[in-house]
Amino acid sequence: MPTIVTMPKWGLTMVSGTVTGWSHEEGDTVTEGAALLTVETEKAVDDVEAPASGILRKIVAPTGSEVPVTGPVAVIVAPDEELSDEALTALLATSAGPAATAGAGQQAQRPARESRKAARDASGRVNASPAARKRAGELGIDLATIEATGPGGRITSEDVERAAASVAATAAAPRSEQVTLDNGNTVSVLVAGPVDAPETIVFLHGLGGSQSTWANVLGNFAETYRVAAVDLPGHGASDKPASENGNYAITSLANAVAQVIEKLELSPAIVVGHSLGGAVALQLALERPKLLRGLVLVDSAGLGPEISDDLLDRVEATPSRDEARRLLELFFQNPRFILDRGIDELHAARSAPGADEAVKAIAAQAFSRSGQQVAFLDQLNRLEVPLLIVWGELDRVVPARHAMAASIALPTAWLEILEGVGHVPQIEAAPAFTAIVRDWLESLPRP
Amino acid sequence: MVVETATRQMTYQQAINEALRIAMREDPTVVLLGEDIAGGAEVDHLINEDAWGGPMGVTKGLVQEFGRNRVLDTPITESGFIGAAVAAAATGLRPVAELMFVDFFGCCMDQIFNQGAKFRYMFGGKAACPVTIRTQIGAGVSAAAQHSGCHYSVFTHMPGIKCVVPSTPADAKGLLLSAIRDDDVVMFFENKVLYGMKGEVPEGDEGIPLGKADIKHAGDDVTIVAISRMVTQALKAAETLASEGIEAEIIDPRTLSPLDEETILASVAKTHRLVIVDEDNPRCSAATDIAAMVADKGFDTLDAPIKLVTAPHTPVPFSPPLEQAYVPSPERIVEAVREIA
Repeated sequence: MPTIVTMPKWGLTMVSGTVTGWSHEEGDTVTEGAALLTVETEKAVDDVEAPASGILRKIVAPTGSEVPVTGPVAVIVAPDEELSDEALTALLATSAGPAATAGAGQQAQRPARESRKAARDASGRVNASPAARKRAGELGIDLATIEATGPGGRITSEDVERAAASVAATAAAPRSEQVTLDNGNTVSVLVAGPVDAPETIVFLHGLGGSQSTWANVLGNFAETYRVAAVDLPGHGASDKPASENGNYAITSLANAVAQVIEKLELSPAIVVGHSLGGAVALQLALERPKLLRGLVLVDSAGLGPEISDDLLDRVEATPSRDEARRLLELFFQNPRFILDRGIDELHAARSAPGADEAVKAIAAQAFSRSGQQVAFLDQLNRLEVPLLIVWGELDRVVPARHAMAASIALPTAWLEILEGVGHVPQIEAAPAFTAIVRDWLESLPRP
Repeated sequence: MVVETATRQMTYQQAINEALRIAMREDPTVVLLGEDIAGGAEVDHLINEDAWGGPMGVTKGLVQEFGRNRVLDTPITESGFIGAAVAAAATGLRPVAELMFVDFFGCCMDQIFNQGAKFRYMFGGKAACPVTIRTQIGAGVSAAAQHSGCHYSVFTHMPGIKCVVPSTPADAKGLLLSAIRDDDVVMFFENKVLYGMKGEVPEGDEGIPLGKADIKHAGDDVTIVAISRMVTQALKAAETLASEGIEAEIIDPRTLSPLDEETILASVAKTHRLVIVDEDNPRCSAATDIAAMVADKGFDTLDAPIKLVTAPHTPVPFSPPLEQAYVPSPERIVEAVREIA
């Protein structure tokens, strides 16, 4: 069986990717899991791994071509497999999507019935079949909102299912929520994924970051889970109040996240915190354990004394494009991820009104030249929820030995160190990161 | 494990004949009683004459193999020979009586319903009545009102009687074998219009369990429960419906007592729509009984009213055009489905 390599969907909003290079040529032997090509999107650049071992029979999308997500980019065949050019063309034709093949050789299709407002009797009771009534009750859908296709304006169970699917699709589509906190400030949250998902995951970015740090993994998670990526106060599209009144204390940030979880009804949530967001997540898990179902710490603050002097230099400096570049150089082990676009984005974010003040205020709370001021290591044994620790082996901001120390302090925690990866595994090793989190999520006992 | 059984083409009539022969070979207590089922008269020089084999030739050839002690021609007295069959069953034989037309049941109803059907109950489970009564049903051959009814609904109403309504040659053979082997009173309704119907019939002596419906055609859009010859009509309707994009699931209950409620309910739970096709008269009938059962136990699965396609509440007319209009047609079934699908 030939294997079609397709364009992956990384981000929630990713519709296509541009092929920026191939590591193999047609006819080469490829190994499952090895990097095959590089793809660049609006947000990032990353490798696409070979989904199967064999011979690279055909490169469908040469370097420079833009391919929609799930579109074919290459075909791999088994070493002894013959695939004629005709068969290859036919195979690629079928991979263009189910819509292209439907209709051929099919039986007569019943013409769709026109949908219209459901009929009502004199008392105003909606005409709905017994099956429709029961299903609407189960799904909690108001019959009055459903269009009828049944004879005589009767709502059928199919009509209910259709309405439910449309509601679910609307709810699952990514949308930006502006949550107003008790202090009047708003927090911006990107919400997506099925409403009836088995888990809800809340993502917290690090110092100076935003929702966009999760762009490479949210699309994957949102296929299965309800996801909510928060812009912490002072970051991204959230309000950036002045740094007085303890607005930027870790406890204040944790309190803001708690309000987001409550107001958007995300509880109990899996909370994933990266870097400083990890410290916020820890504060939240220790203070408000009932809001959580699990905790994921990614290259997190709060688990050891060291903090990179380089980082503190970048925080203290006046924002500039050069400073932004140096920060990315500190974050990423692989220089491939330091893109001009990323530098521009980071610089623009830091230059937004109030953003620099917020970063400096939070850093002053959390870190000092003598080390981290946030310290949760000796409180890990108070955690009431399962813990996953993910770390880049070569993190130069918070060293990976903090992960070891945390796993010693809480032996029940699940620890994953990603080899050769720096401070931001969710970008630098996105497929491995999603796989780890998914495995861990599936291992959790069902509530 | 699926065992491939060899089959061959035979008619409904031949399949019933084969089942009788198998049952008589395997069990010496199986005896046949009925009018003209052996043929000839009870006279020595006609002993091997097989002129009739019953009015439709269903028992043809059996008297030659099993003799007149096991294939008994009886006087034209249903009260007498049905009573004899019931009594013989109560005292150790396993008789198969032929009530020529079901319309004659009035003459022998006490024997069937007040005696045979109640023995097991009256004697605290110690008595059985393993009698099978084969009988012809159905309109369509201009046999007029007194020879064309279905009336299986009457027997379905009564406890203690099993009611079998085969719609194909294979079902006729398998169900008759089970009927004869069953220890209760079994009414076996043969549709006279189907006697010439050909179909694949398995070899061997395997019975089809009583109380197990058969899905004659699978589909997702509407369930059609069809009884006896109405299965054929429903299959024709399904072809028309398929051309319109409506896939009908046709369920043949095969026995009305016991009734395979589970198969019917499962199908309606899938299609959400039910049409019942029944050649019997519509009041207090098998059709209304099945409709009530689904309305009771499957109410929340329904997306449309249950539709009944039945004969009218009249005796069967003799006039051929009227008789044709009397029997549910594929066109009427299609119309009923269109109303709700």
